[in-house]
Amino acid sequence: MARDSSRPPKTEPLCIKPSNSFRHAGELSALFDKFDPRAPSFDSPRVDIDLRECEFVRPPAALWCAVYLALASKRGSRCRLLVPTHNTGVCVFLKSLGLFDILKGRGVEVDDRDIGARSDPKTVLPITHFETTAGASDITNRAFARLQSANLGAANLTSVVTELFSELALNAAQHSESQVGAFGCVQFYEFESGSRFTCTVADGGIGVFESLRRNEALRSRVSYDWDALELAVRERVSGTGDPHRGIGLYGVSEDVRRPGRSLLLHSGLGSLEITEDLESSARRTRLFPGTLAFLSIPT
Amino acid sequence: MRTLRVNDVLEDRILVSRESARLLEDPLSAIMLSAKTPGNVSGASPVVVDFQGVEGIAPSFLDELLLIFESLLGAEITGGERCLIVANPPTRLSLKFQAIARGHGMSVQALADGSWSLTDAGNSGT
Repeated sequence: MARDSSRPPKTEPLCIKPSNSFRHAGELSALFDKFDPRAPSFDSPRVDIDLRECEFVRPPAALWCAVYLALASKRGSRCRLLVPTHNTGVCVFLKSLGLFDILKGRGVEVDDRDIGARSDPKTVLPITHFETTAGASDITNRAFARLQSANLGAANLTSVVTELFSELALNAAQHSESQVGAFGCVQFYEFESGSRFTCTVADGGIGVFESLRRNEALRSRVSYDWDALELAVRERVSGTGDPHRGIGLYGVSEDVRRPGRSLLLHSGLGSLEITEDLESSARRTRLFPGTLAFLSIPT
Repeated sequence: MRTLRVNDVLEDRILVSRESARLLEDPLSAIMLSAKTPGNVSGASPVVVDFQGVEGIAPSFLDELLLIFESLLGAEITGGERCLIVANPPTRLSLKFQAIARGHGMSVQALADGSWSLTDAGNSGT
């Protein structure tokens, strides 16, 4: 049978293998930047994310896996997550975080046989899918109820964590235009240096750069993913053009400028980190196919 | 002063979305109408929105509440002053909430009892 000459042949199977300590997508090889599962040209028949050698996977990395594979699966790729082989602790963590179930629900192959989930009080909110502002409100209140019942961290932080999380979730629901919705999770960690809450929200949408360019008044002010992120955290900057919008991300960025807190935003090829020092550092980095926000708050 | 108790209308402990703020429109309208008296036809006395029992509010929620407040007060307030009291605010008065008030031509300040007073910018409200 003659091949349709108007259509290029399917590209090779794609296998993405992160480093053993996988914290976020910014650590991936630049080779993968051209494989954007949102792009019309994306045509990989098979996508594997290989975590077999991983000793450590942080929530931003887990949500990158969720978004990337959800997008690729929606595009018709046969997708597979290869779970950690030797470090069963990481495997149990990822299962408890809800990553495997989220992926299986989207047609991704995950061989997690004999890996049990644990009922981990530190998982305040497992990776949860949402699409609407009502969904963002719902998962925020679920996280709040869980924080209260688990009695984690200082009582006055409960509202802080949930308010900040809610804004990140609202942003994803309102502005991402994601074909796969958004995902959020809240964790409580105890490190030697102290305990922390982390909130992670990620979507597979158009990204901050495209969102701001929807506002004609901002179009000439953004040229790249990274300068769009710098602009997005300023007061009343929004892709909507509505003068009452553009407070959410500004508010989050202001609230993290306190001791020990930090915010990482990663959208397309840009990332921005904000810490207590009133400094924000935007940079060019590896691809995140959508937008991710990662918030860390000491208890 | 007439008071709207948010908890009587909304069950959520963390108030997040603009849509949920919209659910306060009818009860707020009723309260503002009932505040009108022969001597105060504009009903422009302070309106109190009491957040007792609420544990957190997102900026989007407060912004929408102010939009509702503005639209209800609307043209009725010619030469008068707008004043909204947020009683028992569940969170601290941070820069983001001040920015929201600015966006509506209002200023916000914390009162001695912890309430927030939102008034027309240029009028301290005290």
